[in-house]
Amino acid sequence: MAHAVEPEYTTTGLNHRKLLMWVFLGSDCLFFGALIATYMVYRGQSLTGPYPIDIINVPVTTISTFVLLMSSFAMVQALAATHADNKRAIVGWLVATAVLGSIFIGFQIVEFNTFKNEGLTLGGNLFGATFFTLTGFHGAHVTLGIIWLVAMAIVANKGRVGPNSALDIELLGLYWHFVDIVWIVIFTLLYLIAGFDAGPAAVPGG
Amino acid sequence: MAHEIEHTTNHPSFKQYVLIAIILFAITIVEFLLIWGRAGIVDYLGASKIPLLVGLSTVKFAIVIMYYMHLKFDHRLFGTVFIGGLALAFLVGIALLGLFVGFGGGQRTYAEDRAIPYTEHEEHEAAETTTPATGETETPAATGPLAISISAVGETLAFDTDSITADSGSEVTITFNNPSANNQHNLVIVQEGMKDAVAADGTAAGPANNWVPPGDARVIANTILLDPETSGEVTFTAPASGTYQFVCTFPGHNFTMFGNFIVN
Amino acid sequence: MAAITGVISRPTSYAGVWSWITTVDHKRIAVLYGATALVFLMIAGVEAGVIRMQLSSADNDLIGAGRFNQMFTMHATVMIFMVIMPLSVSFFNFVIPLAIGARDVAFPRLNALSYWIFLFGAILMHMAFLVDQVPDAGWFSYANLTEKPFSVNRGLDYWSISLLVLGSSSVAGALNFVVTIINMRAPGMSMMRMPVFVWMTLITSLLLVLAFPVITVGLIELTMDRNFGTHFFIPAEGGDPILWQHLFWVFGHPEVYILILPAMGIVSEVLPTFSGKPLFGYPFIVFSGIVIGIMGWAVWSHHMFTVGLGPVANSVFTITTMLIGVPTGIKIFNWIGTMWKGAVEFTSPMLFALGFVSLFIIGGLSGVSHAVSPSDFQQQDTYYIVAHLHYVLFGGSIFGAFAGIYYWYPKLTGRMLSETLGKLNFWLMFIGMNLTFFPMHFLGLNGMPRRIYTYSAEFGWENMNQLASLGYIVLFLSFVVFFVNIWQTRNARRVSHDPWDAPGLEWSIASPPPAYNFAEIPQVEGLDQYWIDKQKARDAGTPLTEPEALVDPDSIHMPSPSYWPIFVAVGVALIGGGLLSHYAISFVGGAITMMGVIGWGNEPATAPSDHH
Repeated sequence: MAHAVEPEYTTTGLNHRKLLMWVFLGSDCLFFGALIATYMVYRGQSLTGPYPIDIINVPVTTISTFVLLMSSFAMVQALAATHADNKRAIVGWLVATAVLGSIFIGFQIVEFNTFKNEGLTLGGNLFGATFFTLTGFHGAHVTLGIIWLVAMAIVANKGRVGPNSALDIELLGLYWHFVDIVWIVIFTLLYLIAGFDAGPAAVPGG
Repeated sequence: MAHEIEHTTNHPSFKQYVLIAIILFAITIVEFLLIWGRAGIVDYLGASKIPLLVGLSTVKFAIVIMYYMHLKFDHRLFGTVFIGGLALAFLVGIALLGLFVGFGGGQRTYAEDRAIPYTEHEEHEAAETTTPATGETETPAATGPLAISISAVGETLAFDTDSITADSGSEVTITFNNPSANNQHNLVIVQEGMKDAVAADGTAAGPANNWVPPGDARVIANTILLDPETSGEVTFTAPASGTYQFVCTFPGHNFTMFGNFIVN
Repeated sequence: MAAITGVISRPTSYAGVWSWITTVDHKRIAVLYGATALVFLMIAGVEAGVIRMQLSSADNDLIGAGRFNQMFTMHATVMIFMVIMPLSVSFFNFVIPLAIGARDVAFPRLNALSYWIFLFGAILMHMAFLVDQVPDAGWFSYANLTEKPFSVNRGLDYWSISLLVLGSSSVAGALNFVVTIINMRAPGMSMMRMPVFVWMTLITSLLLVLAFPVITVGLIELTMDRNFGTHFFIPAEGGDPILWQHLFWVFGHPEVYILILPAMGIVSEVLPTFSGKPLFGYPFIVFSGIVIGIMGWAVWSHHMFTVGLGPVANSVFTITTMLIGVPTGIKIFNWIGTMWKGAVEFTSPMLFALGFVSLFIIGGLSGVSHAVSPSDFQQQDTYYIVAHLHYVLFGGSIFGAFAGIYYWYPKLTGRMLSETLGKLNFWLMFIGMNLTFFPMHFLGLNGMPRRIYTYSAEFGWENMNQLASLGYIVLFLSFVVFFVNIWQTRNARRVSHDPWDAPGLEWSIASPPPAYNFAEIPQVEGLDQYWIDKQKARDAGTPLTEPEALVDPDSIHMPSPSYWPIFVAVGVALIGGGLLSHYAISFVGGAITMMGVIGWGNEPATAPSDHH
């Protein structure tokens, strides 16, 4: 990636790319915010089941949440290894992050399939539409992150990642942690709180 | 002037990172216990579980941002741009929610009035197939069968006749031709004066039901929804003598696409 | 990876078509954006002409209802996303690095990428004409008219997917300018010593990165409804068409500030230059801009007063909308204060700037009447709103852009646009604009609804409509004059580097600027630095008559050209195009994009210390 960098002059003393990444993450907050808002607005609006309480599995998703949190830990270790110029550790921790991220995606895929088999589809009701769209785009963000991690691991394995290029790992880390904190919000709202939303008790009109 | 600051600012040590990971882990466990039925806590909490869960998650959120994303040790500007976006997303989201859920907008009652309870998947499928939405066929009555041909007019929202007639008890077959290149139409026989009310309920019933409310007593018979440049027919027994109406219940068409069905 | 990037070596030349395709020079990218925008201006102008000719008489049958819907949808969509926004970005590109004393933007290749994605997105939208499935649901495409039973053909899919592509271009560009303005200012240029145009660009760019994600979500949900069976906006399944309106206008209102703030910035540069005085109340103008940017998020439902949100919501948004008129008013007073007792020269740029101020006041006044929700109930969906929006967008953004074109043209090309033709251009545009749009206030209050393809003579609207259509002809002539003016500068005499005696740093260097902009990065001591420099030189008895001396371009390292931006842009365009035709094409596009990103990251520098 970046070649040997002489520190360039910047007005604030901050790196251009780091500033770019933070502004981009601020922008991505609006993206997920709009998707979450759609979910919250349509909470309780589905005309037919399945409703969240019928299929949301909080224990299993709690496990996948742990996995993602641990991947953030691994990511932080990858950055520390970069500063320490420890090539094997860099590659190891990057791969660990990617593996944990992939396990999370695995959980998501299994969950999507289970829900589909239990009758929750994109077009079936609003819960399906909003749930799959929101978690689907989050999953897409995670997947892009995994691809980035694998690419960086390959580059690191060639010995081209070190303290001079720590910024590249740091930027990847910022993106990865962002994806993690978005999941914290999704987990709390969609699973812990709204996961117990039920449909109506009786047929309308009697 | 300001050259890039060398990355010598504080980093938490390995042990501190592990501690942070354990804290995140622990908070998640607490959140889980708060809602897990078998732990029994949730029964005491009631609605207060929501602020508790939100609070705990906010703490996790803040810890990841401050330590993993290093914002605590970094230049303020990064935090400003990110928190700016985050705060905006939060405020706009709350405003949207408020506009939908509160302020007397009446947005929620539609679903509340019409939502059906969830049944297991297979039962649901079985229930659906027993309600046909297409026209009904009945055994021919005493008097001879009658064939009526009716058509929409080009691209306009109108039938080519405003009156059709039949004898009570006779078998009537209406062939409806839709010559339009753009519009879908149907033909629905309804009780007198009911065309607009049935059309309104038809809109609610949706295209899957051919824009006709299923099992509605005001509907004598109806064709399915016809695509552009197709024809369809419906056969039924003419009801007791009197005046009825025929109408197209595609949303919005009922205002101009209707006529009288006179049964002698 | 070297195998991919080594196949074609990194370009180095600055001549020929390939050099334009691979350019990362902000000045060239500005020309690309500007030229493309002017082409789309003509296209959207023709669409406006068709509308005006159809409406010029009652019961007219020049075109039918379906085609009319397509015309007003495309006219607005093209004008907003493919004319005003790229014109603004053209100015950002050309002026910002020069105004802050920088040699380029923070991310030159990302800058080029933004342009190419914009071009391909705009072409993608217009391919709808080739298949005669043109979007026809209005530029705001309200649900659920836009859902499949009611909008059967693919027009709305062309609209949604193209806007998603165009949006990514805008966000990429805006991110670039945020970092450039925060991080690449010359030494001594604190935030409060930045020219107002730079401030407005910063605020606009922040609005862009924050607003586009919201409409992205809306467009995704619409596309899913139309193509993947969801029911986000379908009432029969519990969805709510009003959610579309909210998502659209949460984006849409900051969008109109995105459209006007750059023009306000341009005017804030032009007025002081031709009044011979510094801008009056600089801090107030800056803070007003910031307040407009922030408050712009709190007013969106004033576009939805007649939807039935309820009296509480309507009252809240009435209040916030009335409040947002205040910072704009502050700006206008400060602009007037700038001219007060100044040595005012009525050059072409100055005329356009004054046209902006006066026409924007009129548009703002009708805006104030919309802010009050009870009166908006009468005005909504009538020609009164059409009048308002054209006064602020045409009288505002377009006049501001033209002020900027006439002002900075000599810096870009070293030649001046003809003053005679410029004045003719201005007066025809000013008269034509008022002739076209002022009658619409009356038409609206007399009940003429928007978006109707014809009307009956008995309504009595025909005379005003004829007047408006006549105004269109005058406007058409004004644009002909403009293009003639541009054309004739091929042989115009060259002018000095500083023909206007202007205050900005960009005027201290040669016209056209050398590739490296500044031989020596300037040291900034205050606002209007070049005026300070010129004054000091005059006081010392050695007036500055020459621009900064040119140096050997090879002695200053500049970012090398690159083909990866257009490569990645092709990939992104194919992703969009594939969604409109065969999904396989999208996968190919995705692969191309990924290859492009990898190639980009591994691209060798042609000079040893290149790290962009």
